[in-house]
Amino acid sequence: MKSSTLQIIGLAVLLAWSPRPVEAQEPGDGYAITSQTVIDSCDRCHTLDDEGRMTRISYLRKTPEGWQTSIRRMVSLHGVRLQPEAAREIVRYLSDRQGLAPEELRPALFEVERRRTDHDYEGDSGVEFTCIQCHSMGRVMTQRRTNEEWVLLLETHRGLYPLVDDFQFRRQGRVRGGDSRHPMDRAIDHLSSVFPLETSAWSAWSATMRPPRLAGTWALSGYELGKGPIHGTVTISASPDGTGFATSASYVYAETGAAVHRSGQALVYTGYQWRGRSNPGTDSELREVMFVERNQREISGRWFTGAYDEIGTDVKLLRVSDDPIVAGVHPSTAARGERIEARVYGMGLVSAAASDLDFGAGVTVGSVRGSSDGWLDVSLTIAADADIGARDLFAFGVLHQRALVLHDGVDRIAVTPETGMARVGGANFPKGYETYEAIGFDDGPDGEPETADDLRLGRVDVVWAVEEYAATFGDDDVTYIGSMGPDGTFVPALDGPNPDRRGDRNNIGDAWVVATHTTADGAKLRARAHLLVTVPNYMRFEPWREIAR
Amino acid sequence: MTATMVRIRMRCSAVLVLWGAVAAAPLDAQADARWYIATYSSHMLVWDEVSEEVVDRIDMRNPIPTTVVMNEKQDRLYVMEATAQSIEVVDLKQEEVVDEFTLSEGNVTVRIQRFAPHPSDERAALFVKRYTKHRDRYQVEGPFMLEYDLTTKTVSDTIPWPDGEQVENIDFRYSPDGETLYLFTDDIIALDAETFEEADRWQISDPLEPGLGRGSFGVSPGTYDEDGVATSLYRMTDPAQNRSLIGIARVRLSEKEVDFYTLGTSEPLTAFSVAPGGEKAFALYAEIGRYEFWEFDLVNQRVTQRVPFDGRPRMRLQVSADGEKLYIFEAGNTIDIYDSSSFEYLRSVTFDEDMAYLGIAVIPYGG
Repeated sequence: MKSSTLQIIGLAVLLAWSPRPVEAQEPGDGYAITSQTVIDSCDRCHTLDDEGRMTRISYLRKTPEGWQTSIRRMVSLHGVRLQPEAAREIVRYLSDRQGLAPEELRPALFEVERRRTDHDYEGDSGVEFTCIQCHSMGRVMTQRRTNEEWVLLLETHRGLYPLVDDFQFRRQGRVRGGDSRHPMDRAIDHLSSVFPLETSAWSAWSATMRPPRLAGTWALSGYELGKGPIHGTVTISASPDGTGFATSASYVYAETGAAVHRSGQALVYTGYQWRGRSNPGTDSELREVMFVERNQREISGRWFTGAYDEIGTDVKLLRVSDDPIVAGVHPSTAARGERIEARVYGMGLVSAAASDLDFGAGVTVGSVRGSSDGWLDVSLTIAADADIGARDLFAFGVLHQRALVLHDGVDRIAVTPETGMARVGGANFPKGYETYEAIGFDDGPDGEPETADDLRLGRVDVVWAVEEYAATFGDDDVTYIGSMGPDGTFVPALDGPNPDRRGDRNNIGDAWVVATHTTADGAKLRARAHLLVTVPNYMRFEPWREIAR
Repeated sequence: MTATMVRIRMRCSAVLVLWGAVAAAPLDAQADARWYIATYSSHMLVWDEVSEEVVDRIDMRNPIPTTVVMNEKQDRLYVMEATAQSIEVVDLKQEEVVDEFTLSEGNVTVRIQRFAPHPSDERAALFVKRYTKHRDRYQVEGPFMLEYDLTTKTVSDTIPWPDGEQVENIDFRYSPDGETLYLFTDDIIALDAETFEEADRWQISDPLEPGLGRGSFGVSPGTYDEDGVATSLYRMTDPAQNRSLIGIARVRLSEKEVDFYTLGTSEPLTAFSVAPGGEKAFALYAEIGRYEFWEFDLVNQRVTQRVPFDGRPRMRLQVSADGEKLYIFEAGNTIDIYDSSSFEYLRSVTFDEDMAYLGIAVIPYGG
């Protein structure tokens, strides 16, 4: 071979293997950073341009949780040193200046409310499949980026987690016909289109966004999985420095009457995203993620705890004003011909006569036997021939829909969630619990189960059991995976290899959770749901709290 | 070859080296074998088959050795660690690490996905990706196919993509004489190992003969295979009746030659392993909760035994050097030992360490 040919080949080798230069961030879009704290903390790596934009940071919008995760990653992996006060200031600044509009966040509330939901993304199932191999689609839906930033985000994934190429990002075989793009390239195209940096929703919201005025008393109603409805009040006051809010919540569990008092603090990001903690630093600490409606008269969301945020209460707050509020009735079901003592929860429920409470046909209000600022106790008699179905309550000039469901007995039960998940723990990682409920149903006027007129009767008393879900021959999971409490909470077994189990396997597996309800006439009703007991979530940027031993 | 066996010999338009032309018989039963086992620790185990004892531990420079590649002369191992950035060279006479190389440097991480040493042990073919951590972003490049000079520890060449099409996954290895580099894609492509020009191509993406469906077979010789021959399960779909069939193939890559015969409808068989002497082979039937040993008579071309046993969800199979035992292992710290005639469970060997997936090399000796 001639030497010139060799030189050419050598040059080709060099070119093929030589690193590509890094391209500069495209000009145009991007938000100027005006926080000196952000600039001082981030400019070691993120370059500030002449228009005040910082590379990467200026080209994306996220929720407070998204920005917090970025900061944790910078601290964990890239040697950033930040005082907690500075970190909080950065999250606050970026969430307010580069956050999400309410309309943008609402479809993905399940993500920030940490709900374990089987979400079905309607945008592009192929892109969804690419993303949810490792995390929820909510993680994606709560971000907005330029095209270049989506590209760089996926490069970050590949840099930090190289196996994503093999799992999902890169097409491993040849494609003959059809879409030949690598899944990651299809995702970039889609996400750049549906979740761009600049949107009309954001420009409109950021123009009118302001600190909300939430001080006052709010009527609280909610539902805690495994414990049922709660009712009470939350008093919100502005913190002395004007940056946040202090809260004082008092409520009762309607089923047991157990009273709870909580106090806490909260911030509101982006004008509507409530983030708080009550009883901080105690065993009863709850995180609060709520959405303040634009009219500032209604707030809703979830209060939660647990190593995996799996224990929680759905809450709704209505601002208390001169108008009465009817928040709910307990019990919320009654059988035909039955006489019950019920409590009507709400605010502004002044002393009333029986005639002031209208439960509709077939329900007679016998007496109002007691009252306070938060409730009224009433005697109700249900006519033996009353039509079964839900009754609205009209009282004090307001209507509360489906306040009381009249039925003629429990015809069937269902266990929720239909598919649950727990994580072994207690040795090296915390346990992840799952809570089941058994819901009773009346078959409704047509007498047929599983039809549109079925009446949901709420939680019913059941006996719980765990039975083998035989996924393999000779399956023995129920012996090892953990136990079901009488309250419907599944407590998983210890994490780590189990020397008592064949192959030293972990205490993981799957099972049926079976509920048995005994009806008023002694019949047994059974229902079941699937339970997957899996391994701990071993890795996350936030350190695991030490587990209680 | 019996009457029922079909031998397909593709016409070669270019010269391919004869692979293992001298040796022509399977490896006979041996007295013993040494296993070199990568583990989830900082060392490899050296395990002796006869004594069933760990006879040595090879300290590695990097934690968690994973993939193990033995060289042609069977006197050294190339061992990749868990982050796929460096390969350590284990001298099997000394049973210690004698060298190490990496392409990562500073903010550049190069992850090695495939590695094949040249028989000279002076160079190797690599399949890599490059990850560069810049100040505020990652840059991922590749994959690349490279020739790496093991003596100077530098990239000496890039290997062109087959048909000019970059692929995400490819396997390759050198011929025993080092003159050919085989690339295993949809087809098998033989490159001149010096110039990387295509010397020949075996279009296995096409049916091996008219009237048959496309078949799949292995090309890597097993521990007790005849030199240059890979005996493996053969699967194909019968185009006439669309039946999935399974059989056994003997592939002599150097001659682009495959002999195969069918045995029956396709079953979930795995871990095919030829026994010393080459007259018998074993495989595992594996469905969740249902496991069987299968024994094959390679002389009379039939399945001779199917015996249920308590398997594992993930299993590899190795026949002992004397042919009398079967070893079941993978994904754990135990090797289950069975009698290869009765398939009776004999005992389990338990290590202190979990074994790494793909991390075992077996060298028989003392025949």
